[in-house]
Amino acid sequence: MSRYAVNKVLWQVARDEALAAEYKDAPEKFLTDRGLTTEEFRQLLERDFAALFAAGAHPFLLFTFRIKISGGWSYPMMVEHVKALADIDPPLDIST
Amino acid sequence: MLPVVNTDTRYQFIQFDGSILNAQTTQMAKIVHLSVVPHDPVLPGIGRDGRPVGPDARRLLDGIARMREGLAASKPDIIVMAGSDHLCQFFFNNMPPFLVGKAERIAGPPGYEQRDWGLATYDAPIEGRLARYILTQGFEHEVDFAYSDEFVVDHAFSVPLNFMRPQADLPIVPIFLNFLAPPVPPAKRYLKLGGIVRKIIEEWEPDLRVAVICTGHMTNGVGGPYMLRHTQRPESEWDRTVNAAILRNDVADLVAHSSWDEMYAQGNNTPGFLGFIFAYGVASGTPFTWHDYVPSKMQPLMILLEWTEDQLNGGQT
Repeated sequence: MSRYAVNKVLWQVARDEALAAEYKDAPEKFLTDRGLTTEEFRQLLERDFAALFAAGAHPFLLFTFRIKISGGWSYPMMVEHVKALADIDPPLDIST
Repeated sequence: MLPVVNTDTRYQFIQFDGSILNAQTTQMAKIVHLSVVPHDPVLPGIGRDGRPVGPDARRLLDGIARMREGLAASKPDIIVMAGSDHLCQFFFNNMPPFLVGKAERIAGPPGYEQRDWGLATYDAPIEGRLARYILTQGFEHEVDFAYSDEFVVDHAFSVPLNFMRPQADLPIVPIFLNFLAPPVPPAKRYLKLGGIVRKIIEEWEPDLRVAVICTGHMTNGVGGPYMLRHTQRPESEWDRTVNAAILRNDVADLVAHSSWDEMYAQGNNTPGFLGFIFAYGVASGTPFTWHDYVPSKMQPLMILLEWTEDQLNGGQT
């Protein structure tokens, strides 16, 4: 597990327009050679928000990542995000 | 005897209108205002474009307006503002627990926050002399501040500053406190830090009036599964417990309920309460002058706090 590497992907996509475009255009290429496990690679490729959250990805980063790849914030997107995470017991330790 | 006007340029401050303010050196700087102001990025847009304003939001906006008037009445020369970075620029590759910003200007928020929430920018000079004094005296007081000469502030600074001083006519000293990226220092360190920052300001030689604005959260789960919980349950047991301690001015109890685990369990951004703890450090035991507690189904619960000059200085003003 590399929570740091996962958070770094979330952070770069959420904060950097050029890197967000790279992730959107060629996600497999973007995620390669970043020290991600096979499962983390899958989670970020398939945008499996529930699995990322359950594994301890930073929730605020995860949400801002989602805002970015959704093209901006919207109420329905927020409701969908909460629904996706609703059945997970939040991990208390999210430190890297 | 008339006060002596000090013409030592170390104590001359060029004001916005170009005139020179001669600070007297016979007295030290004084804390004249302390407040805790929300930074919820949704708040500034409430009522925009003629949309209706709900009663809870009205109460919050009226409370903030009251504190803005309190700040103006305190006639500050400088604002010290303590807030967080929302993983906007600081990241796990290099994460400062406490940081003094000493660039030429304080400016923000970044473009993505302006777009996502329609936020206005804030741009004001930084009072570099006080920033450097807090930094170096912090070392003397065993606080190992990080510092930055190039940074941006996110909504944690721009929203409270736009609410409290929209004319952006005062120099600011920004202090970043890590609320968001664990591990963070224990709450007792934020309390101690607030007290040390106050002591440093009050030991600064220019006879200037310094306001301190802090920001933080009560129960808040933005980004996590509890993000909309307030729509069903506007306040938690933790909120009620903490508010009761605030009403009793029971700072030890506030600290006791501010462990990362206890706060985080309420919602992932609740450790932002550490901004309140810092404010209580600045207050150094003085009870607040004014307070409001606003649970709502429309936005996360918020507490507003204000201390006036007279209150902060033991009724000696």
